[in-house]
Amino acid sequence: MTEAKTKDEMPVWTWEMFEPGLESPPIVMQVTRESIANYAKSVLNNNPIYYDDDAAKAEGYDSVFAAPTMVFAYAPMQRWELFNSLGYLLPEQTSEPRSTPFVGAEVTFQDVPVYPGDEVTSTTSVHRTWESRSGNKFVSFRVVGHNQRGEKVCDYLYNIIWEYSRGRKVRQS
Amino acid sequence: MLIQAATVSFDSINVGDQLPTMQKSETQEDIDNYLILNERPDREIEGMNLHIDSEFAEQGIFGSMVNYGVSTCGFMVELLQTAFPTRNVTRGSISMRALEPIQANDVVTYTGEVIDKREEEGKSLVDVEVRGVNQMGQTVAVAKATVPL
Repeated sequence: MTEAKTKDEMPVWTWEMFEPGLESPPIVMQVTRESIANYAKSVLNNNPIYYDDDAAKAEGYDSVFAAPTMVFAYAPMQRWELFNSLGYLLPEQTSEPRSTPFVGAEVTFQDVPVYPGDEVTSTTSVHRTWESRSGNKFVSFRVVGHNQRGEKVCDYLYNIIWEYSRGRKVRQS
Repeated sequence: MLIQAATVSFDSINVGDQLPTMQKSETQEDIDNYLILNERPDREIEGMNLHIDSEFAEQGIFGSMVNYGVSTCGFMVELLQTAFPTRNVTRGSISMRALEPIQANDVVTYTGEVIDKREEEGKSLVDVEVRGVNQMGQTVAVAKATVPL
């Protein structure tokens, strides 16, 4: 952790500075019945296994449990926190912000159900960077999380486009 | 053949089999809700968000607000769960790519097809390709998933 600076004093992270292995501070998230239901609701998923214990038990689970892609919520990708902890801002955080949007994800499910009462500790690290032939620049972040029993409950890559060579990708409709 | 989670088996599945079709349409309220319903602990430094900040999004790469790509991944996995038991899906993997922005009120149709079945290291694996196509016929996202049966 670097000495605390105000946002105005912090420099902006640049492409040349990326280095695989740079890691965020850990984040701890509590999983609750409410967060499980809220996540399912947020992805428009009405499957009762996320809302009703009996429905979940009928599928062989102990109770309601986290939807598979709730990994993105209980073990969130923390790129801002990663670079802020190093004393830098990301482009979205500057006075002249630009976006570095999501372009894909690779999730390896861990076959460990996440239940209400579980506590997930996760970190985000720089996995790799690459540049396409057309000059687009990409960054892949890896997020790994474990529950309070030390079991790995999530491992995924979250890929962003750092810089789009053509500037904009606006839909023509 | 159409695959259904209740009846699927490795022996009965064939390359070319289809997953059930699913449609999703997110309103801007739904997109806002993703953030609201999955609130994070306090951040020390906030940043602009192209999902909910219209002025920022209009100046940005897509020229408009867009949905959360991780929601799209969620829809694709939900589709897998219609074709395979959840227990099997959660022993597998998915690799998805967002190809075109999804805006509020777009209607995206998700489909899937079995592209391979194989036995590897004692596991019976099914490979599936999932695709999302918007109301204009644009493929907005694609994924490859592997589900052990």
